[in-house]
Amino acid sequence: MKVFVQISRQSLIIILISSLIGLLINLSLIKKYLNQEVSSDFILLDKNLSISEITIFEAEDLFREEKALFLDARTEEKYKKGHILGAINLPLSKIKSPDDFKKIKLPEDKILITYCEGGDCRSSLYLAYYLIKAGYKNVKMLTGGWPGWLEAGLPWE
Amino acid sequence: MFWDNKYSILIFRLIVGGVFIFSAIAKIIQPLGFAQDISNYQLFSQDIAFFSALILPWIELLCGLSLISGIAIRGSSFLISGMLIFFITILIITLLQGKQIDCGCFGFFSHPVSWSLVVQDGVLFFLSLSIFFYSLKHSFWPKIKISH
Repeated sequence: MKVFVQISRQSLIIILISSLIGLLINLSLIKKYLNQEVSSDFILLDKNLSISEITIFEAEDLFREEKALFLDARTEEKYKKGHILGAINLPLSKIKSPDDFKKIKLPEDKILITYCEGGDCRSSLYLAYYLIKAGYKNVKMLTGGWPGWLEAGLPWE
Repeated sequence: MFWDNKYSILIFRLIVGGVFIFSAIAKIIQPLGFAQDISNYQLFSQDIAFFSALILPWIELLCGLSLISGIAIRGSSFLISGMLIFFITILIITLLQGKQIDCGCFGFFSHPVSWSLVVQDGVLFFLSLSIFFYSLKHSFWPKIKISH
């Protein structure tokens, strides 16, 4: 019984102190959130980055004009099963910080378009975020992702 | 048993504590990124995602520090075990639903949800549970007796 009381007391103290620190440190963020200045896209506001999106149709034009390089943020397995023609596989498991791009040189004259599994997948957003942090300026995220590309009947390999 | 002596428990404490401290710091730096990761699971409301993203990393940090220092270790190993059960449950639900999201486990060092993550959390759970049961029987700090 004594031990049970001690465990509860210790746990409660840890939770209380953590809550206090967490809330106090983020006071300005909480204010923003309560004023509804934080959008549901938390990440975009967090980094003050504007990661622009591109539709399948816009991407198709760039693809035909060979102005874009597609970057596949999905797993290697999925990439091997099929990907946008000419796309490079950059799974999130391999890219863990902007520094990793120093090893991989991507063409700076092309628009880099990231994509993932579509729907709610976030890996293309993360990849785009890393690319921008690594200094690439022409980065876009493909809305609809891989399934959208397939549905539109566009070339893949 | 090999997991029931003070040396293995010390190693367990360093491993679990280290993982939690590292994971906590990665999330503390990026509160909104973590909030986004939580809301991607689509299991919680936006308010819950937001506020737990501010608090949860600090609970992880304090628990990690407590495990390593040996202060309030019963409470922290209990909390960590509880958190891990929670994480494992959420991971399994997400995997069964077939959702493809990032786990949000280490902030921007995160990776997609997979069964190997469930195993990884399962191992951590076993380690923290061993610490918890060991801590019930042993004290990590000598008791100070004030005598006159």
